[in-house]
Amino acid sequence: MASLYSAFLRRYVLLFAAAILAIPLSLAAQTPSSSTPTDVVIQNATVMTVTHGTIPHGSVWIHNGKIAGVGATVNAPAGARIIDAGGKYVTPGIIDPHSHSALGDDVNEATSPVTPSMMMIDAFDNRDKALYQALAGGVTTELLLHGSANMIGGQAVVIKNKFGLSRDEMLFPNAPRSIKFASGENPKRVYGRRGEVPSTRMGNFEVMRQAFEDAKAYMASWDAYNAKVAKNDKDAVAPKKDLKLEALADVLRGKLLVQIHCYRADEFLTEEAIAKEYGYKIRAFHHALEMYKVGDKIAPTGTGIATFADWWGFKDEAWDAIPWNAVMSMREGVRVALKSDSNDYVRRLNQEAGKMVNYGGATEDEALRMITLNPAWIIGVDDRVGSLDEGKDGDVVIWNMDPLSTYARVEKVFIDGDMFFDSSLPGFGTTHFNGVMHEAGFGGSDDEGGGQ
Amino acid sequence: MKATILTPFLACASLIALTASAQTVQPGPNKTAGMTSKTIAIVGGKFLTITHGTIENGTVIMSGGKIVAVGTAKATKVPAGAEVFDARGMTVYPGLFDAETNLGLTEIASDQNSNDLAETADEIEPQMHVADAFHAETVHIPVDRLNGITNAIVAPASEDSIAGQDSVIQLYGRDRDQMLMQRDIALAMNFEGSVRRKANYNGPSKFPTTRMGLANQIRQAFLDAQAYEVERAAAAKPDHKGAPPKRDLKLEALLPYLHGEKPVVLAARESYEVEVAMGLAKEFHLKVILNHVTHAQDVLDEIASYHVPVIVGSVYDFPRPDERYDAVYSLPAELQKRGVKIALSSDGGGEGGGRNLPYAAGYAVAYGLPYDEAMKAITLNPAEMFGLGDSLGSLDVGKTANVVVANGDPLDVRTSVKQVFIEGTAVPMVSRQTRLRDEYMPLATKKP
Repeated sequence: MASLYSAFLRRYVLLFAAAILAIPLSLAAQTPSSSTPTDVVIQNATVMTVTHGTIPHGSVWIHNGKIAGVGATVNAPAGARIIDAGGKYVTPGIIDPHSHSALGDDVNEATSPVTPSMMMIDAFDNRDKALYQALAGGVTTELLLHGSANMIGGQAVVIKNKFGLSRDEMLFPNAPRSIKFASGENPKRVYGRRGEVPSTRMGNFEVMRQAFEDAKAYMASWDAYNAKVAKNDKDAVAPKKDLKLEALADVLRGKLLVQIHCYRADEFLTEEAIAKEYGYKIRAFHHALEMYKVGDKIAPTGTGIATFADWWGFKDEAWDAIPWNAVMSMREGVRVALKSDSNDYVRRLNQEAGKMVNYGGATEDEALRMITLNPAWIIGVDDRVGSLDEGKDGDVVIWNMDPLSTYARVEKVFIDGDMFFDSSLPGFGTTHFNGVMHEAGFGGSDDEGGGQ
Repeated sequence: MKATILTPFLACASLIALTASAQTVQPGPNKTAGMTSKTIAIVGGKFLTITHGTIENGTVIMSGGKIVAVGTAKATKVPAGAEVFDARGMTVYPGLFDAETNLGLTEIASDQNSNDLAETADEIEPQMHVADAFHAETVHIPVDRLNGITNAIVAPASEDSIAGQDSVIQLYGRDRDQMLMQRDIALAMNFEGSVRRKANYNGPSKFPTTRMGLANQIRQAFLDAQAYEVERAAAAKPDHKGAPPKRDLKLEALLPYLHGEKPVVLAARESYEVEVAMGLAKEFHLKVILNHVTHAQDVLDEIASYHVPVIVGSVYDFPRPDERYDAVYSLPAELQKRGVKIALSSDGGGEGGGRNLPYAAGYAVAYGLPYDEAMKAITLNPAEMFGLGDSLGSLDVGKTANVVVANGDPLDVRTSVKQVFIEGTAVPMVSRQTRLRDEYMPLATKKP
């Protein structure tokens, strides 16, 4: 009883306090709870930097959790922890820009097509086994998204896969906020079968437009109020704070990265038109299996895509999917990331990238960028992670061989310079995890399930 | 960069003269101008024979739909008039055999109208023949074929305890008659918790709602079939009086399996499920191919002691929360190490489809399975399990000329298959997907 109570305290009461005081745990997140060696040097490896080529027999020096040097030689101080990686490959940590891991079955608040104030962090389960299995596949950063039941779903949480640390310590510090939109079959099906709107794509987009009209009216009411306050109008009455409309207003204010689930070429164009109409930018289309049809038109908008390597045919809107989509879209100038949308594929995104060498002749650098720097950009953290460059976070994976090979295995994973996985260790191979993992939640795929 | 994308797409037309001529015959997923009687020699390259090692710089001669010669390029004479396929720098291997698919039983998973995966009114459905639903013109077959899959078991979805009878197909041919190599080649059985689907905790349930019920029902079905056979035999005697028993297709369907004439593919995932399922199989002397066994790590020695082949996996099945991340990846290696004959399957295919079968084999290699054994697990082993080892699964004289040419290691995700031969015919390297690709390709190539 006592232990249960203390677990409860630890888990909820303290978190609640933290949220109110907004101090203690956010500090904890910046100082890893374990003793991290100040300097780590991984040397003698084939270093795939992503941004500046591959260095044979290169070294990566991590100082205080940040990359301090990458090259044929580095100026690490004596006493640094040296890891000889002779014959091995080193890459930045893999980044999954579309995951539903560790959200239990709480992926979709499918009770209304517009739920922008749902915060995925409120469902985040840091002991989900899917996180561990992803870590063992070299994944260090994930964007955990709301599902696609709703036209406008909730706000994502960005995590670093520091499996074994506390829930708050796994949050990516100061990551930009993302919000999930969706259109097409899933919202059609979910609401259509209840006899509600939307049951068509017409309904899809009408629901969105009305939501933004409501948000504009809400913003106008606040603008009017603030104007009155500025003029010292004593009769000014503050409008009611509305979480839903606040979130939509933040979309219109450009404060949220908009991540849109959709498959078809016509929908990309419709979504871009609506974004233009209401003055927000789309960060990325997710799935985007028909981007190869209109890549030339989407490239100038700057919107990226997070797509599957070779998924196809599982639903009507995936019927025209081809495995050359990613490379063809990339050649059109679209920024392309691969993603898992699955507790399964998240374990081997390196192989999904490897397929791009086959399907379209991507170079190894291009393929690797699709699971590192480009997904980092989609999440808005490409200045921090996604490549082996000085000043970036010390998120580094050591592989037994070229990671784009089917035969590649992850040997060690460092996050912020701290080792979280070592396959040579007995048991789980984890360095910070003790206790019991939770059975995985919904996890994907195509994000239509959980919570409907 | 612009140039690199072109190379694989043009199917090496400049490199391989034959490809161009083959593709003028009749491009299309299945339509052929009839299987060729031409003699074709694949010359050069690295030949993975499966049965007798690797031949560097080899030659395979195909004629009349069969392999008529295999050897080193030096020792193997190319007959006059043979078309020569230049495979220098390539890897040549037998067509891959997928030990469990739903090919031709589903088109778009979310569209029920396109699904003929399993009858679910009852758990005992041995009288269902996938051959009766097999859609030879499915778009999925050319897609899988382009990655080197030439043969597959078509099985009903794992919905019932006895789901129906499998067929074996080749992934090319004029129509179903040519593609269905053998119907009713095996019985699809499942002893898995997922079949226990009739429990309704909020309303009336139907038998069976437990594994006890499932086992009981399976046992009764085989007992009924045995009784039916006795009754039928008695009625066949000249001195028999009265009407013969009414013909019962369901019970009749079980008889070849009770006689051990054909294998049952027996699926179970948890160790205790494997043990109960094998107990039932022994009771009725069934000839078993075990399937899945993905959470049976604690009874691997016991599985080896059954002396039955195993279709392992999928290797992508998730470990339990108390298992190490590689508990399932390493399962093929662990079983093979114990002397078990293993095959791998795409097991329904997943969202990427059955074309990813060779990569599952490659992943098993990453986690300890010897390379040659991985190749066998997707060629010769499944062929042998289903009684087709004499005609499929290796580069040997007399076997069906199902041969694949790729630009590298077949198990590596980066490798591109360049040409597939089925029954000695160069299959058009075209699918609905390549046509979409080519239709939109100018968009992708026009920019710098």
